[in-house]
Amino acid sequence: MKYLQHTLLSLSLAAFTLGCGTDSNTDPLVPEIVSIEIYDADLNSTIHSIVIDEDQAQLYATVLYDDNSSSTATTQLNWDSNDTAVMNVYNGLLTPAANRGTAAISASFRDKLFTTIDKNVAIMPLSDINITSEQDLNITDDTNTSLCHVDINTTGEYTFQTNGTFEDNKTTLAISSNITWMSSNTSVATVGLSTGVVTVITTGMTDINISVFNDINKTLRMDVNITAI
Amino acid sequence: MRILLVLSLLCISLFAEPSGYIGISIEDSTEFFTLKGSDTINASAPQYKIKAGYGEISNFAVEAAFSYMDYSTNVFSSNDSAALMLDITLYKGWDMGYNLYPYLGVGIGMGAMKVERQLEDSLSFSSFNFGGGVRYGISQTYDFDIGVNYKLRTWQTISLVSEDVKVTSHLVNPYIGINYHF
Repeated sequence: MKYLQHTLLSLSLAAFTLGCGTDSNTDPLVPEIVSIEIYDADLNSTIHSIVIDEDQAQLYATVLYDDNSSSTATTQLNWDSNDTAVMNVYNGLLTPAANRGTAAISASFRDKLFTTIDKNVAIMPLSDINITSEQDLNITDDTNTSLCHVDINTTGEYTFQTNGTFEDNKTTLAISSNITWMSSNTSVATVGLSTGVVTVITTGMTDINISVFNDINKTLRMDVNITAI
Repeated sequence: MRILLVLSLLCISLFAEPSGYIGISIEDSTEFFTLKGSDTINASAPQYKIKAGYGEISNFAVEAAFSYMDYSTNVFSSNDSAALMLDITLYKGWDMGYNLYPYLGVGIGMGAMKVERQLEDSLSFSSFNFGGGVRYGISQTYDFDIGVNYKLRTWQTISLVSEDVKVTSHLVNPYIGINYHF
């Protein structure tokens, strides 16, 4: 009987010892959320965001994990605006409302991570645009009208840029989207519809019409006088 | 010798009748966790169990067990706490003579473990288990228990905001214990 008890005890200790494993990994199996970042279409997550009147803007959210991975979670979050008279938001899509001002846009998930992803979005209408050129052309701007003027005396390509000025008269922003360029006289000069690259062909006059969101319009009157060298 | 024989008969008599029992056991094994069917981690998990049951050691018995388990590796967060669980198991035993009672068991369980995650404070799990072992009647009222269990656990879905992930785990855990019959 003692022999049987001894055998049982030995077997039990052996089995117990076999069950003792060693840990092969000290990092948790499931990655942890570090933060949720909000950014706009230009991947700008630090300063945000001038939204032009009557337009919509899409915000995106990315979850960052402690294993350095990330994933997009725009539609999984609950988006909220603290002033819906200024701005509405749904699934990250910002839609300006009737009033002007600043609305704090936040996104939350299960009522957590709220403070980490709070962003302010200033809603300001665009008031004016002005035109500059890469070739440093002398562009005169009539502040009383939406007409500006430039003289050109050689053929070739000219690249123009548009800078927007907003209603606070402080904020300016290079406008690279939602802008259209059209030439009134394509025999004198053509222009890329969205690029602002003007190709001067011959002597004459043409109006380059610039429209931002079909709302803010500007005309660049171009007098071309090709002089023989 | 006669006394031993009488005690042995009493013991068999007690074990042969339905009776209640309580017991303790200690288990140690390595649990294998799987995330989304691919990523894995293993963690040793000593378990301490108190249990109460009713039935015949040589026939059917039902047992409820309350266990404490503390993984030595953080599985779900940087500061996992211990897990508590409740198992209900149905046993079928046989009398093989020499006070030996082999048995098989099948059961289910549930439990929870505190974690420190952004979106979860604790994780629950359910388990299915089966196993077997042998009990040795060491006196009229005590038996020594040794066996092995296979457990398959399904853990609460964990949210990563953009997706929910499922974790399953399984383990084979040998155990030893002692039961008191009354």
